[in-house]
Amino acid sequence: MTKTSKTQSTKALPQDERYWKPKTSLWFWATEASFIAGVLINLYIPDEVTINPHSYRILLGGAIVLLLVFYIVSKQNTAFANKFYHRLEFIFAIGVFMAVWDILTTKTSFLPLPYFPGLAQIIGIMVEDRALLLLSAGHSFLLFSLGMVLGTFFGLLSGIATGWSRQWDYWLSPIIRVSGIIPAIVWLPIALVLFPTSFTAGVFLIVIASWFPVTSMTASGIISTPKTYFEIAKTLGASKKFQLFRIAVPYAMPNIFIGILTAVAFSFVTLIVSEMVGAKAGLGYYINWAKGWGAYDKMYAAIIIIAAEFSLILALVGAIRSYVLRWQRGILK
Amino acid sequence: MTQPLIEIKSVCRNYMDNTQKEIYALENINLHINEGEFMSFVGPSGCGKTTLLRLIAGLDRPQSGTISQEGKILTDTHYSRGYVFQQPTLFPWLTIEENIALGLKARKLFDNSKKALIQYYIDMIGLTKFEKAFPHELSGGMAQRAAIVRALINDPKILLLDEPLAALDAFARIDLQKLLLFIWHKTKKTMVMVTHDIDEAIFLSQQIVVMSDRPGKIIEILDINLGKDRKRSDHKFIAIKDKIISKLKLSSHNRIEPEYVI
Ligand SMILES: Nc1ncnc2c1ncn2[C@@H]1O[C@H](COP(=O)(O)OP(=O)(O)OP(=O)(O)O)[C@@H](O)[C@H]1O
Ligand SMILES: [Mg+2]
Repeated sequence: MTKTSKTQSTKALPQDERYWKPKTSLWFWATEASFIAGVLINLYIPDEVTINPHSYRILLGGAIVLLLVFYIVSKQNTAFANKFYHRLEFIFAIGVFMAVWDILTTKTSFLPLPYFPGLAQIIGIMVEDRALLLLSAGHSFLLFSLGMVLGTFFGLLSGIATGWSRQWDYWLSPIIRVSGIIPAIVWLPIALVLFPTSFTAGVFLIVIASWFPVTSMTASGIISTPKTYFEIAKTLGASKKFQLFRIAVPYAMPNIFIGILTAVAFSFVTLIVSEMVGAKAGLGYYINWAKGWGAYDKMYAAIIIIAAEFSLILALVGAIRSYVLRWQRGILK
Repeated sequence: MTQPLIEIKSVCRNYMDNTQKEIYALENINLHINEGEFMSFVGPSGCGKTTLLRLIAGLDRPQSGTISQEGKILTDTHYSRGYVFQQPTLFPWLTIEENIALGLKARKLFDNSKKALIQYYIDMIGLTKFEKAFPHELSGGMAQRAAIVRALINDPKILLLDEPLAALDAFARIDLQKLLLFIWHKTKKTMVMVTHDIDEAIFLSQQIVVMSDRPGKIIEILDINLGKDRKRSDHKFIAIKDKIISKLKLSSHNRIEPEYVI
């Protein structure tokens, strides 16, 4: 390792600070062993609960193969190896956790059913019910993205207006402040009456949930633009419009993205609750419906899908953010 | 006599301090700035140099009196009067070439045919290969060079510089003084610079406006006839410097002004 960190010039240092865990193959073999143990436990300890462990075994097998592939890749690629070795200890813990969970549930029924199903059971249900789960996930995604896009759009409009013009600020700020403290979900009963479908009502609620943080962060970003920035632009012949859209808005961009990320978090909550209460589709509805049948394994399956879907959305927003704010790289840590 | 580029007539500018007391920043200023001239303002801190420069730029307005450019009274900023602040204040979200091109973009004059011009300026200030860099990747001197060129891109009639070199170390300062002289010789633009550094003023200017402590007044306008190649050790250079220092001391109510003691 010392050899590689010498040949890698300036880029090696921050990498080491970020991926600071020891880089030994030992953890790789331990991790592989934990997953192999998981397979063996599942294969050779008899089940207490009747389930179909097929998908669970494929998952474990997949993990074992994937780890091996990563290990081989990490032999060729140092940047990848840094990341991979850093995360190995955690992956090892996951392997152990899965094996222990399997023993405590499917193998011994130590944890009470139906509230704590085994992972094998959850994975099995996930595969079995994949059509409905996918449909629900798609429905939730559509609802979320429509609401977020509209809410962000309106939030940018009202945020720019209040941040830029005294007149708009005078009339809009009190309304924004009052409506901002009310959680969007309380409008659900009214939304269900006002809108023709539960879907449009859901979009409406997410628009409200996302509109507020985007508005207030945009406005505060625009207001805090340094006066000298405008003065420089003015001496360069910039019109008011140019000063707003080419100086104030770019200056406010980091703030705007804080608003958008907050809006995403608010919208997740609003999305799931509105689907649980008002809708006939989506992951929130699926959870509620599964609970009604006492199908806790389905509920856990839906929760895992929610976690995956929301992580993907956050990663997407994060990628857009780091592209738009690429000029900040090196300024911030 | 030809018309001066900038004509300042009995200009006063007062500020209210936070106890609502009036501060007389500038009192009865009369000044002509001729086309192609390099003029410096020197004077004690707080005497209104920045105020005067901002008035000329149109960033501020006088309470009484008028400032006109080629006979027309100024009411606002205009791209024909470029301004450079003490801090480079490049826009951090724009690359160096985007920062420099901003004046053209603001006036909707930017197109591909302007790229060569931008490149010319970037090469001139020695920032070749930094076109796509962001401002935080530049040193203070590099950033200030970019800021000066940004103010030049609109081909202004007059360049107003408010202590543009004050934030720099001695080496970068000498570098930038040379750059300013180069620009001035090359473009024959009118330049007005505020500075704390009397040496710098004598080294660069044709005319030095010496201002008094508050309320800011013009004590004297000195013509510097030292030719093109100026040496700081030249006895004429030193004589001018002594003269300015004595003027400043007279006006400063016997206050010690350590920045002028050499
Ligand atoms: N916006 C303002 N509000 C109130 N007072 C001001 C304002 N701007 C300047 N002044 C006052 O006007 C006077 C002149 O200020 P100015 O900035 O023009 O001085 P200066 O000669 O540029 O000083 P320095 O050499 O320190 O930069 C100072 O007493 C200052 O306190
Ligand atoms: Mg000043």
